[in-house]
Amino acid sequence: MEFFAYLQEAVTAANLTVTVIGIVVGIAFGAMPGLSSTFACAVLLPVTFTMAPTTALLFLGAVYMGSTYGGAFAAILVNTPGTPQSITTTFDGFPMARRGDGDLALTIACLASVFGGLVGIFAFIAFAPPLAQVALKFGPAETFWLALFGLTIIASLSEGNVLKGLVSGSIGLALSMIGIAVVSGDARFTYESTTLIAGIDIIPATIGLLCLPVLFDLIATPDHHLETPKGVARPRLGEAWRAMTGRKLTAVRASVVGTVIGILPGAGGAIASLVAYSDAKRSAPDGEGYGTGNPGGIVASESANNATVGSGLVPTFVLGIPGTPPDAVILGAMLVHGVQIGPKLFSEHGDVVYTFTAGLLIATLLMLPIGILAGRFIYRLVLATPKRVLLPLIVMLTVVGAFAIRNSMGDVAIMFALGAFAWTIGRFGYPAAPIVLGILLGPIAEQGFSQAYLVGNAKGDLGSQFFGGLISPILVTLIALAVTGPPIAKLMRRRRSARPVRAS
Amino acid sequence: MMQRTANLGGAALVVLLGLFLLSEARAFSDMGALMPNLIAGLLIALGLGIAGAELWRPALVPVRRAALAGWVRPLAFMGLFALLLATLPLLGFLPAVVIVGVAVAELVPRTGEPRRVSRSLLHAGFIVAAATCLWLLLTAGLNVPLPSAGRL
Repeated sequence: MEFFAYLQEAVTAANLTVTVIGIVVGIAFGAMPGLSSTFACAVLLPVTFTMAPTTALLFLGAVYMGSTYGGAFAAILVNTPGTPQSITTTFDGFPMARRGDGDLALTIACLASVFGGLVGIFAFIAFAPPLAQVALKFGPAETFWLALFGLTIIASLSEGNVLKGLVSGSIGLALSMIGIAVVSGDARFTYESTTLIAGIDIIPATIGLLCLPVLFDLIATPDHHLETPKGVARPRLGEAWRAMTGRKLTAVRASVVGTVIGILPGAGGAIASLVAYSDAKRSAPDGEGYGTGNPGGIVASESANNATVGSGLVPTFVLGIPGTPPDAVILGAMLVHGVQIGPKLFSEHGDVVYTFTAGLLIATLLMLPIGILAGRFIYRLVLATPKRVLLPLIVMLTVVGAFAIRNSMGDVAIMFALGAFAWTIGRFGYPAAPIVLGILLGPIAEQGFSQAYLVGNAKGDLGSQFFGGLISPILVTLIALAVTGPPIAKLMRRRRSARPVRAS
Repeated sequence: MMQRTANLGGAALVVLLGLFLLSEARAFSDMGALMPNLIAGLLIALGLGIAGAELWRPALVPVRRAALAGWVRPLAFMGLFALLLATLPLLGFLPAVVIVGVAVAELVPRTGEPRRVSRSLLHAGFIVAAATCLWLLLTAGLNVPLPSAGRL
């Protein structure tokens, strides 16, 4: 019953207004390529200084929720993940938009985001303290295996030419080595360039590798950017609902994956959506269609990344360790407003925490109408804009996204160089998406590996450091299954189809 | 050019990249060189794997040659992007993106209709208006930093 009192507090006129504004602004930030959830929360943090603590947290929570969903707009309509969490949304979202189903893809993304968001928040409300213990069980070795598990998606993304996909993934890993090494402190592949010393940031890299090749291809032909749908573009809610309910299991599994990975400090929504996508592709009966415009890919990706919003709050509030980067900003906002983090948070500031959680629940539900309306508006806008105006606009947005994250022209240059590189190698059959995954997961894998190696070496027992405990063997088994599963399944399918059919 | 030549050339470049990583990693500490060496080994193995698979495959398939326009316009677009990179620190965000944006719009191929100055001017007007609105929204509304003149 007490929770309903907090729910009432969350729906006061002031809190509700701030929540709606937060969602709209968050969607606007997320929809612009490169402006991540972390960036949105950080930029808007000063706005909250004059607000009451609960209202301030509600605003930031709504911005976080809205920007995570908003990332799907750019991912679906221009093949550029608005936020790193939406990288996997591009795999099926953009092919759907190209064939004229962009409105459907956006509505499916909205439904999946709301579903995943609700699962993450309920997990936080119901299991915050016990879930926080899971986070503590994840050491460097487990983080390394988890990143490696994320990398196994490269194999599943590259069906048809696995070797070239793996080469692209390795190039991504090599690019992630540029800069100061996290553990040893070596300056690697920097050649005394101040831009390279800072390393290659995932945002300019993602824009360059995924968006620019599409632009370079678009300029070559007079074809439309997206196929115009038959009739007027509309949300196609019924169709999207059927697509969601037909993939209930995918949505549930992806939300659980997102919830669990969101709890792990530092992992974040990007890994969650990668693992969930990979899992959905392997387990779905129509998994072979993933990557060509299968709605299941959007369901998995968006459910997982939005589930991390709620679950990421578990370590943030219970342990004081941010589960995802935007949580770090929310943590900062709490400190600014005099809310002390730690074991006594729930007893001393329970009202703030629970009202915030109730508000997040409301924000997630509000995202459904706001998201569908915004999706319809933006899709129509993109369809109505002539290609000769749309392309220069996308160029402007790519520059903004690449520059804003570190205020660096070097990042804009890196984005351009990677775009030209991806376009060129794409013509020889080397895909760009695995390069993005390599850049994203390389530092996480290296840090986990190096730390586990150092600790294991000091103990004189590397074996138990890497393979001991309960979680590492499970992850190693999953990796082995992920790598060997697709070729074995393919072989079995081939044998089955080659078997002569007996006449009855 | 045959597909075999393209794939073998690509495989050779992958092996060379691996060797380059190996040679560069010699300058790093043991811990710092660990991952670059692993990746280098992986690249060399994959390059040899692609080459082996290509030589083992009997069929010779000619590469589908893209039309000249398929290369010319993207390369011209890249040239304009390079120009944007050069002008951003000199002119700042708004003038640089407007100049390059209008040039990009002119580069987009037309769908059969004749080139009309009035239409080009209309599109240029749209681009200027959109760029100005975006600039105002980002700087005044959302406090997002943008490239400014005189800043590298």
